[in-house]
Amino acid sequence: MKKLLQALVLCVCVSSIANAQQSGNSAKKDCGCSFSSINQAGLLEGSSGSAFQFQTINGMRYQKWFVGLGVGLDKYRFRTVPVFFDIRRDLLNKLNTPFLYGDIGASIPWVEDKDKTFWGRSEFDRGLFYDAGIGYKLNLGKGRAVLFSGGVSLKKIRETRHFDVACITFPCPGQSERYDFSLRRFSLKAGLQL
Amino acid sequence: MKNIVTNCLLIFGATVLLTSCMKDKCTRTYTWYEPVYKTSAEVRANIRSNQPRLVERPGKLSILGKYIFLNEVDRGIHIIDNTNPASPKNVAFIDIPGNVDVAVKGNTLYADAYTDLVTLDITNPLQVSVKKFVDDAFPYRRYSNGFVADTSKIIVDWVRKDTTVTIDCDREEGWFLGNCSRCAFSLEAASGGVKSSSPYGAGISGSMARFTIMNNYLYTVTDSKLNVFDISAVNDPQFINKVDIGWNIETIYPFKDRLFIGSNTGMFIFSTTNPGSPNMVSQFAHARTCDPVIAEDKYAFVTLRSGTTCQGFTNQLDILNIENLSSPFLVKTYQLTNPHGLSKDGNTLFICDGKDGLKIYNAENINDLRLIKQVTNLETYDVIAFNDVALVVAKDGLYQFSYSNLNDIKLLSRIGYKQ
Repeated sequence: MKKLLQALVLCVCVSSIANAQQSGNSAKKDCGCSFSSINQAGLLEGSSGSAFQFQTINGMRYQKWFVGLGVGLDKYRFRTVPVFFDIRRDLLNKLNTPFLYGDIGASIPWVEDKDKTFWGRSEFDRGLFYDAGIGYKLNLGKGRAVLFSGGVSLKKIRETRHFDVACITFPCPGQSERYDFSLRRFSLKAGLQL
Repeated sequence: MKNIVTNCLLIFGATVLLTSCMKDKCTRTYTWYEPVYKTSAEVRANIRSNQPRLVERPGKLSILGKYIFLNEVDRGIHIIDNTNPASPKNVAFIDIPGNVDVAVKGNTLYADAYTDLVTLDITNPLQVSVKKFVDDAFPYRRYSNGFVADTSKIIVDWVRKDTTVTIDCDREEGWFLGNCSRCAFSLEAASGGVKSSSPYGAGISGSMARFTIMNNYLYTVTDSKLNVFDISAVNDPQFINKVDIGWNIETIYPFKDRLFIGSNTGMFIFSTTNPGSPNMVSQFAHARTCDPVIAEDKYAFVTLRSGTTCQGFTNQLDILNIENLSSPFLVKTYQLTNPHGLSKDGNTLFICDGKDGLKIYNAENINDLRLIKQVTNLETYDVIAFNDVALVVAKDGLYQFSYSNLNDIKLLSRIGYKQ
């Protein structure tokens, strides 16, 4: 499957390079940094089903590069708030260009009651979050662009369930269990870069 | 445009293909306890005065004369020589697997051993001997932590096992109750508590006791029943009656010819005019909480506390007027933090208020309890105040305080627990 992924990425890159060669040098050259905001929504798809996600990333754009800090909403399995560092790079010096991106940060739990244990008390701890993939940018002019992307995303979250065992001797013996969730999903997003 | 579409299709294709290999991984880490068995014959042969052990998980408490009989939950009874409360000595340990309750009368000690009632001669606490087993006296104890007791094998210990397993990430997998039954020592037990004196020639037990002795009868409560044993022949207890009370019964406390029974939802008063067949005289309902109770001529003192196990949101002391046994009524409520056991000696009221420590009140006027002293830095659970010494079961040890001078309450000693 790794080979398949590599092949697909290669296909996208080759296709884009070909596109660049055909289009000629029509890209508008950036000559300094500027503030940029990326707001995107999409789907997370994995073995636990599909879920909505939303992200807003704000940072600086410099030539082909963009770096920023992002925050979002991730409803895959558990509701969490990803807080992450984002870096992305356009692959071509063109207005319409594929790009690579990578996010790394933490999943902050914001778990709904329905996902907490009924029998005791749930405590959730934050865990690693990352998302990396490829995308395509369609320039709308004036620094604005529509973004489409697909990538692989992981969020980890730890739940500790505490249960009190009934007793009349004190202290009553507590019981805890730890659940570690490594949730791997495919991340599809569409959004607007301003 | 064609290339854009191509790229988008490639991304979409990758998504679809990769979805199948993007699998969540979930693990569950838990502790469980594997039982260690001995044969019934081996266990019974070992019910005697053995070498003293460090207190590890104390339960109920009973004092008689100079001795403290302290339950080690599910394992047995520590015998502590308290001749000098400033220097108590742990002198012996009676191995009684499954023991959580204890009551003492004269030279006889009654204890549960899972489903059985065992009668011990404690004339010489260093040479305790078994006098009788009443088999299957407590059938509800057949189930222990998910294991069913066997007539030929008895659980004497538990071996801790930590394990991590991969589970299906669906929420229903690995939920607690599926394996909680295999967890830890637990379920029943209690620690000492109240009674400033016992007119029945019996030992002094606590406000959280589930065994009590009144004259020639041993009364025990289960979750829903009051059992009566005739102990007129002290070494030959006979089960004679069982009375249905209702669910969530917690404690039993004797006073004169009455039994005060605490439950999650209220306090029941039983008359023992006919001691072999106690009958309910009245009940006082309260919010769903845990509620140890003690009583005297005019008043009953009930602490209500909340907590996950106890449920509810009430933490208070209720004082009830019980002059008319058939219609007890609330006189006064005092707010507390998380009250547990309590004890009263004369006009001095002792309340274990959880992490707030031990609170000692002048209760001469029940409408105006006055705090004499609060012993902080202790997490207290139960207390027996007797003969100017308050025996306090706390999270980190068994403490003894002298209150012969209420203006100068002093720590006499502490027996620490094994960490």
